[in-house]
Amino acid sequence: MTETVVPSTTHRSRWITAGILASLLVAAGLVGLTVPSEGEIGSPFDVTTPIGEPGVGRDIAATVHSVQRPTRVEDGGWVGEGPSVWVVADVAAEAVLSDKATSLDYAAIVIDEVTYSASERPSNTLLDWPLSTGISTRGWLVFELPERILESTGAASARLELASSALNDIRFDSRLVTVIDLTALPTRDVVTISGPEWGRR
Amino acid sequence: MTKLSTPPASIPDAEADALPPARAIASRGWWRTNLAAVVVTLILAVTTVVFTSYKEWSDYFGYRAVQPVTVDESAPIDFGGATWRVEPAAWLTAAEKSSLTLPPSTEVVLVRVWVEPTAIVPPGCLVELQESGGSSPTRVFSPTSDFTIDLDVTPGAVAYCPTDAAGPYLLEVPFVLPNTVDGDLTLQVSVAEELPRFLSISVPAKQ
Repeated sequence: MTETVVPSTTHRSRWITAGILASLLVAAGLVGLTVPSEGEIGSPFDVTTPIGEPGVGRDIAATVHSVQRPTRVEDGGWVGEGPSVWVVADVAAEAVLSDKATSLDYAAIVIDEVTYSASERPSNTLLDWPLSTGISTRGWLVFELPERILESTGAASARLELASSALNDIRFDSRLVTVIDLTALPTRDVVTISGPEWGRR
Repeated sequence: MTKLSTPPASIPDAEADALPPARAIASRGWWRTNLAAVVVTLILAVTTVVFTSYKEWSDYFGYRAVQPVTVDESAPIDFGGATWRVEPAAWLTAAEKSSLTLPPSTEVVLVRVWVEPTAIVPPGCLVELQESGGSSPTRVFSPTSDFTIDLDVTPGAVAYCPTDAAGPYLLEVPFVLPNTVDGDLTLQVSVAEELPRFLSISVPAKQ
């Protein structure tokens, strides 16, 4: 019977293997901890500005001049009234880098993570309006919100979100955000919408 | 010290003697034992990265105007199934602008291109104006509709490249630019079939 002595290099290689395995497990754990959540993957980059201040994103620059809460909105022959809460925003927007297929095709008010897109019912609004590079266009955005929205907890910190994109895809792109207190908005009896005005800031 | 057991008793002594001792295996080294597998793995990894990158980047740039073919004004060039001749760009004067419906603080440059199709199917095109090297980042302006600004264009001229043109035609497009433009202007004419190549014509700044 012959006894064989295990060389020390075999021990060392086992420790090295174990070390590599442990490192890989730690690295995998770190990746798992830091990976973006499903909602974060592809989410837009927010640029937050107050009312009256210009916000500049990658290919959109906009200023929310005012936000009001009228009881009645008129746009030519169309009238918006009734139990809904109407919010109208006076906005000037332009393209920054390129106006090729660039329009204001995303406008929404987000309250308690519920998104209310700008109304398509009035026709003379800035929604879907083509934006020009370096030349501002000013117009209205109209939002029709549920009757009891002002009683919700998020009404005091609603987000007015604006973005431009091709094919309505704002992933990985800029999103301009203005936080508004819906309960404290100036109220009016009537706001009359007029068509977007090219060249007005 | 840990000791390995001796070869199993069922193995005859002669055969056991022929087995390579553990020390001999260790001395061959991990690298020597696995060298072929490591080399093959590396070759496969590098090949995968190279081919995947080439495919993705060639797809990305293959459909974008990234290779300018520089042309002088008034110099005809055969490109994408037509002969193109770009007339010197015309900046409208204040008097000419006064009759138009324009936003404040803007300038208008009128671009005219003579196009003589040579292919059986005349090419479509995309015309843009690019500003670079100014105080703004590189930015792109699309043509404005002559209806929008109430511009009277040359009779018979068109604002796009008709793919059913029966003969030569004049492409005439106005660009409305903010007066903040202070960089170099380049007219870019792209034909889808020629991408990533496109015609690039320098446009002199307004005097």
